[in-house]
Amino acid sequence: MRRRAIATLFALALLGVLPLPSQAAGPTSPPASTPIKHLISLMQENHTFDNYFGTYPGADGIPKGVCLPARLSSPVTDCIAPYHLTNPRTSDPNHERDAALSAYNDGGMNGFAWAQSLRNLDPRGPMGYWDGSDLPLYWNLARNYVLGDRFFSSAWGGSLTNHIFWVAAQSAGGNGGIPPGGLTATTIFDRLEAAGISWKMYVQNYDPTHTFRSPKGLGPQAVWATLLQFPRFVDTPSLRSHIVDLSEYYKDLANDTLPAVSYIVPRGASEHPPGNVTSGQNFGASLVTALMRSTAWWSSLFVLTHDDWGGYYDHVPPPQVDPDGYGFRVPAIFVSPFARSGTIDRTTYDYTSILRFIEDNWGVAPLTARDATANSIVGAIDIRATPAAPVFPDHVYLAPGLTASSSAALILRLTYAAAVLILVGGLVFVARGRSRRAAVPLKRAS
Amino acid sequence: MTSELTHSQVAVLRAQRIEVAPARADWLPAAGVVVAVVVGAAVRLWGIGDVGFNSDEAVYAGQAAALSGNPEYTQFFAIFRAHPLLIQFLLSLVFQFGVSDIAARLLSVSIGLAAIPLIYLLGAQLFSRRVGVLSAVVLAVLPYHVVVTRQVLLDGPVMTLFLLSMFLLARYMATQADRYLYLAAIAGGLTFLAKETAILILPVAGAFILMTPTVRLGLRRLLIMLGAFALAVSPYPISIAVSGASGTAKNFLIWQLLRRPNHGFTFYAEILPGALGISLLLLAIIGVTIAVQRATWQDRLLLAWVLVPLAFYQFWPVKGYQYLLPIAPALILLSARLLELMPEAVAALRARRPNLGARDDVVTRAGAGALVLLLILPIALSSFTHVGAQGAVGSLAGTGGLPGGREAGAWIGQNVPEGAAFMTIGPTLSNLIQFYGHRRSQGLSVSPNPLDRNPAYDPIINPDNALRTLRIQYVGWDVWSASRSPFFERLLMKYVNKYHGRLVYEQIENTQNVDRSTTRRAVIRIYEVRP
Repeated sequence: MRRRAIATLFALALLGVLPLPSQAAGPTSPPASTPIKHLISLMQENHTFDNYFGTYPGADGIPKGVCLPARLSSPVTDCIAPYHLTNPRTSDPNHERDAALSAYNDGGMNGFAWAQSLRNLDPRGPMGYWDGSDLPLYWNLARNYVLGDRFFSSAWGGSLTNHIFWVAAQSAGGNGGIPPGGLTATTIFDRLEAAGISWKMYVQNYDPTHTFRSPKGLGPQAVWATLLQFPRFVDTPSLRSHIVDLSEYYKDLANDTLPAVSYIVPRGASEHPPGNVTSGQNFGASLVTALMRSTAWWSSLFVLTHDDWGGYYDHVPPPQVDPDGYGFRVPAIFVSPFARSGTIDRTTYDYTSILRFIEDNWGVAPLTARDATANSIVGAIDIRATPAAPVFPDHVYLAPGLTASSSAALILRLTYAAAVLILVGGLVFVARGRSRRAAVPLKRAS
Repeated sequence: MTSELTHSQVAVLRAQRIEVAPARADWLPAAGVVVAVVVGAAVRLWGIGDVGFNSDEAVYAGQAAALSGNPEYTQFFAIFRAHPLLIQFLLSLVFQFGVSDIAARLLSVSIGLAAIPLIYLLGAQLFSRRVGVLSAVVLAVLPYHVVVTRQVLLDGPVMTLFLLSMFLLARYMATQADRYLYLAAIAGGLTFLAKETAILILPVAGAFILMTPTVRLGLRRLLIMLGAFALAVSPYPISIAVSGASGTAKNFLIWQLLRRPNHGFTFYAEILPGALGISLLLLAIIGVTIAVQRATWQDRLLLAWVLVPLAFYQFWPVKGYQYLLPIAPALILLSARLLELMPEAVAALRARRPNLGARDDVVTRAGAGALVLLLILPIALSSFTHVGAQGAVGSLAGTGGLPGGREAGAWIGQNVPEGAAFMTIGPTLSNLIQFYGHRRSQGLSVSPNPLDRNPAYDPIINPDNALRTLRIQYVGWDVWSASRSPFFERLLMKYVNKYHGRLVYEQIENTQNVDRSTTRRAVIRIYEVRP
């Protein structure tokens, strides 16, 4: 069976429709311990799990009856229930560390609206959510691959700290902003470089002049492309050469030179409010689709996450593993030919779970206690499985309730069947009446 | 020994039954109808699966497959689009045993064949069994009916149900039994459920009632009749309401009312001679003339049946090959009834030429024979020609399947990654890709302006963006859409070139041109595109 599946895949590849499996993972990478030769991590911006997947079938989504008070200090006379957002753009709720702790409210998880009220912002802002009709590409990816519904941001607060965790498994002092001299913590890329494992950080609309030293301040690029906060990655040409424009990603896919580890940083289609979530999902899904059309697909794992809560509501209290966090849950989709397709992974993860996977897969040492003790995202895949042909993300999400089994379809069938039966019954009735009359013996003249 | 009825018994029977004929001849009309059905089945089933679906067939069958709960179709074919769903509902029952284009066409053929005994019954009711049999034979080989009922289209069933409604109305006229009137109203309602344009059955019936002084319905009968009609059509508004598709239905209505004409004023004058046969058309014109002169209730029924839809579609901006099919039985009956008028014609001839050598019965038989040959032979030959000419490049929509579409779809289903999306010139190939290939596909020609598009189709708002962001990864080209929409074909190929299109599949077929010549050419091409 397995042989036949592989033979079929090769036959398709020879026809030019599906790409042939990659022969090598980048130029010089040592072998991986699993079939995953390419780990790609895309970090989008500012949404919680409930904000994107709170109504996803089977997921730990928005509980029924939730209604959060706009003010905790006064008697609760009214509350705000989660509501479906009809606009792909929203204002930007406050999502700093203090606001996150207000929302958390010592585990009460009822301060999300209040946290905004405290800052004279719209308390309704956090309670909106999108669903499959708004985010069909993400929802279809989740349906066809693996959705993680216990993936937490690594730290309370916003982008800066969480992005540092993404590369260094620690906040590295980032809670108070970047020190004037930049960051010095050891990153996963130091480990990869030392081990001779290929890696790149792809940055959308990359501006090489914009680093932590930029007189205009950090700006999105330097915050999100975390390595630009580290002097050695900015100043050492051999390291700096790994930070490239996103266009290189497509070239690497086309040339079969995708490195072992790829970090992708958006800059423009990040989904950071008030950015358009439709554009963001188009961007995210396009990166996945490009991978699916490449030779690298057959040995890849694409992890699509968001970097922080963005000020939006989520109902699951994050486990507290150290003073930094975890922060609230964020969306996480694992796409791979080895994915346990169509499942929801309920393992507790955070961004250091990605680091843990890299470390385990390529045999490099952990960075901190965080990644050393984190669950590896390897649980989202079955490394013994036959690699599956890609399923491109569809831009239409069909909710299960809208199919032929829906009550509307049932009513349709019943009413049409009734109409047909009325006519047929009437015809039978008339025909029987006629035959009875015809059966009456006629008096015939002899 | 033949028993005979008294005159009073004959009178009673005439009122209750179609006609009274000597018992020994009873089997002849039945045999004639059976022969007609067998011949009709043969000509409809000949090579029925040789060519796959066309665009409309794919949509109706796709809806039916979705309604049957088949998950491979639910994501591509919305159950609730614009038309009522009677045929899709019936087809969904067939699809419970598996989706098959041939099975779908067999249902269509079956419904079409049911019209043959029906037209016999109506012909016998209105005129005589001879007229009924002749009409049945003509309908069995009528190219118009053969071509349409070989396909999964709504117009074939509409014709059958229209015919049933008219038969029941005629029964009411003959017997004055109310049950036929109400049953006719229910059958009319189901005709509407087959396709909403069959609402024309109301003005047809109305015109007949208004034109016929002997019809006195009274308010009670009228209300019951309208109630029966409303009951029968109720699944349509109910299903729209419960599905939340009222917006789609309204948009479709607005679009139909405002859309630009798709054919010229002479469209039907051009296609009807080929579809009906010139001989039938000429005889029907004579029949109409005679019907106007005679003006019995039978004549008025047929006249209303022909003239109301003809006038409507002549002035309605949207014209289609198969739209006038429901009037075909009336035209056949008007032609075939000339058989009954043959003795009168011979008598009139004798009056003008008293020294005519032959005996009257010989002349009558010769005239009847000539009429039968004139009616049947040309259209039978034409039918066989039409059956073999499906899918000609440049041919009209609704005249047959599209060669290569099924094969291309099957290739796509087996070779293109799941979830992949296609862009085509127009909806034609898109519908086939979705039905046979189970991949999403959108037509470039579908306008982003809601006033200029069928609301059942989604436009590609920004093709460049969709191609750049990899939401569309494949482009499909087909020779039929290219011949109908050269502008969008050029645009499509511009995108193919801009996004490094690579030909991954080409379907080559022997195709017929509109002049009946044959050309071997590429009919469908699939390109993989990437930014």
